[in-house]
Amino acid sequence: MHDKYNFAFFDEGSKKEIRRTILKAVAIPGYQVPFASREMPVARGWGTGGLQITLVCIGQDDILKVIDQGSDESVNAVSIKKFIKATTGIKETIDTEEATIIQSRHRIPEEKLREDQILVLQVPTPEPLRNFEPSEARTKELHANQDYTGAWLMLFEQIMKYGNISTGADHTVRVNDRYIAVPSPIPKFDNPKMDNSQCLILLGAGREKKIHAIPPYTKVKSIDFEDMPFKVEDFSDKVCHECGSSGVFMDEIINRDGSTIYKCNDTSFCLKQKERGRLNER
Amino acid sequence: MSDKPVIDVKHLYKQFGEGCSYCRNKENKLAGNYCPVCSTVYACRDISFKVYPGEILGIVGESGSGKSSLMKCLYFDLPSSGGEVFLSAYEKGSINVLNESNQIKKKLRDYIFGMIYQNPYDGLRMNISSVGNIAEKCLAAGIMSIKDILSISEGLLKKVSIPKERMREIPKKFSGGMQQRVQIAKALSNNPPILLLDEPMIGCSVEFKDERGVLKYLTRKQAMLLK
Amino acid sequence: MKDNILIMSMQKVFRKLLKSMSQPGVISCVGEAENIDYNFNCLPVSMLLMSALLDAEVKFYVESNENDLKEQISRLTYSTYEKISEADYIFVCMDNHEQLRRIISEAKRGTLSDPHEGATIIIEVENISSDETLILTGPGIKEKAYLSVPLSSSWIEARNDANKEFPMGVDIIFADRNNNMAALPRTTKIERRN
Repeated sequence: MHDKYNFAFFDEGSKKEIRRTILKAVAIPGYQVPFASREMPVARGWGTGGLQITLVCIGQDDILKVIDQGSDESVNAVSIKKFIKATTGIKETIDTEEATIIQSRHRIPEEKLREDQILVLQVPTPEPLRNFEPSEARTKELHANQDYTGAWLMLFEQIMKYGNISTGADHTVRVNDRYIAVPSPIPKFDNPKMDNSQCLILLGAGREKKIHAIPPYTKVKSIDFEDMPFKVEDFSDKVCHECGSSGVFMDEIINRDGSTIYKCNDTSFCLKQKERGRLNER
Repeated sequence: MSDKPVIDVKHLYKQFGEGCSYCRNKENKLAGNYCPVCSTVYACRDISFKVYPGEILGIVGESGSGKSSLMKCLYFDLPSSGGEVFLSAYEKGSINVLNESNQIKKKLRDYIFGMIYQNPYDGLRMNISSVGNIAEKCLAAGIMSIKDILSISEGLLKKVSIPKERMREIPKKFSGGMQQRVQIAKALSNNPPILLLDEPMIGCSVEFKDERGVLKYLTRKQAMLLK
Repeated sequence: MKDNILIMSMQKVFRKLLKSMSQPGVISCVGEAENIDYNFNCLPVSMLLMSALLDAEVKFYVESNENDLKEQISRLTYSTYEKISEADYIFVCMDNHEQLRRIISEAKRGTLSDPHEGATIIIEVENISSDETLILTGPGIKEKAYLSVPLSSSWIEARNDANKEFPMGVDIIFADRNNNMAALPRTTKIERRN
C-alpha cells in the first residue's frame, strides 16, 4: 500500500526541513516561519501547507480526521484523506474525539480538543497585513518592529464601510501579546477556541511557504477597538433541525417554500448529537 | 525664558559617500556641495539651530541645497551621518535622538512629529479613506477608540474645510489641493509639538496663498519647520 | 538498522519532541532509543535527534570530549560542522557542562526579522525529572510546570540573557541517560524555587 512511496510520501530530507520549521514555529507563537514548500500531488491553494504538516507529524498510531468547511465528506477532505491513507496506511475517523490529528479547512470542530490532539489548519494567505502592505520585505519589517497599526487600520476601514466589524472569517488575532497573525479562514465564531486551547494548533500555507503555530495554553486575542469589542456570531437562538443543538456554528438553509432552517455546520458533531438524541429516546 | 527649545539641532550632517580627511575637516571648502578630493556629496554639512514653542523656522535655499535631506533626516526618513538632535518632548531634551533605536524613532514620529510632504502621495495612503488616513496616525499615537478617532478626524477635516460627506472617500479621488489638506489634517491629528512642512503648497495656490495659511491650525505650543 | 524502522523512529522522536516543545515541562520518554544500534559517542537520544533534524541545509556544533564525534555526525547527516556562533544546532555532551554558560551566550539568537534563525541547543544530562527545582510558566503551560536538571544554575542566567529580547533567542532541549527528553522554548519563563 505504501510501497510505492516513502512513508508519508516525503523523502526524509523534506521531512527534516518541515520538522525544523514546525519546532521553531512553536517556539515563537504566531510568527510565520518560512520553509521550502514541496511539490505535492494536490494543487497549490488546496491545502498543501496543511497537508505537508500532517504528513510530517503523522505516525502509525495516529487516527486522522480531515474536514473541509465542517464536513468530513466534501471532495477536498476526501481526496486529502485518500492521499494520506495511501502513503501511510493509518486509520481514519470522522469522530472528533477519537482523532489524534485533525486537518481542517475553514472550521475548528465543535467538540473541545485535548492535549493529545493536534489541529492542523490550512491557510491560503498567512500574512495578515498583506492587504495593507503588498511588499513581503516591508511586512517582515512591520512584524519585526511590532508596527501593527495597519491591522487596526484595516479593521477601521471595514467599520467605516459597513458600520461594524464585519469580518465573517479570518479575523486577525494577536498571539501571546506579540505577533499579529491570521487564524486561517475560520469563522469569527471559532476564534475564541484558539485562546488558551488545550491542543496544539499548527497552521500551514503551502503557496506562501509559511508555517505558524499556536501552542496550547497561549493567549490569542482577536483584534478590536476599546469601544467596539470583538463579538462572535450568536447562534444561541437557532436550533439545528436535525439534532436539536443550539449555540454551535450553523449553516442557514433556505427551502423552496422560502422558509429558513438551520443545520450544524460540523457534520460529525451533528451526527453524534442525533445518535445521543436517539439513544435518549429509547 | 525657562522654555526649552522644542527642537535643538547641533552640527547635523548628511553625506553620501565615505568622506576623506579633506572634507571631514569643516574648515575646508567644498566644490558646491561635494568634496573635490573624494567626490563625497554633503547634502547637509554642520547644521545647527533651535526652535522654540510657537516659532516658525523657514528653511530656504536653492534647489539641491539640501533642504529636503534635512527634513528627511529630522523625520528619520533618512539616516543622518552625524550630529545631535534633542527634543524637549523626549527625555526633556537630554538624549540625542539620532542614536536611538528604530523603535524609539518610530515612537517619536508617531507622537512628537507631524510631517507634510511636498507630494501628497508620500504622506497619504491613496487607497485608504481620508478619515482612515487620519485614523492611522491616531492609532499609531495610541488612540484605540473609534469614537475618539472619529471625533478627532471629523474635527480636523472640518478645520481644513473638507466636507463630512467626503471623509470616507479615498484621497485618490481628490484634487491636489484637497489631498494636501487631508495631509495637513493627518499631520495635526496627534497634536504634535513639532510640525515639518516640505514645500507642501506647490500646486495649492488656489486654496492657500502660501504656507502661512497652515499657521491658523497651530497652537502656541507647537513649533513649525518650514521649507 | 532497517531503514523502515529508522524512519518510524524518526517520526516518533519528532512527535515527542514536538510535544515537549509545545508543552514545556512535559518529559517525553524516547523508548525508540533502546532499539537502535549505534556506536556514537553521545547519548542515544541525541543521536536520534540528529538523525531526525539535521541535514546538509543546517550547521551544527558539538562540545564533546570525543574527537571523532563531529565526523560521525557529519557522515550520518551531511550537516556541516561550524563554530558556535554560526551553528543552527548545538550539542553539548555529558561532561562538558563547564562550557555551557559560554556556549549559550555565544549561540546565535536570530534577528528581529528572522528570529527563527536562533539556535537550538541540545544539552545532555544525567537525569531529567519533574522535581520542583525549576518553575516554568508561559505559552504551552497550564499555569505552572516543573522541571529539574542536574546542572549548576549558571546556565539559567546565560539562557535568560540570550532570550531577553523576544522574539530573538535560543531554544533548549535536554536529553538524559534514561532516554528522556524535555524542551524549553525561548518563550518559557524559568524561576528557581526557594
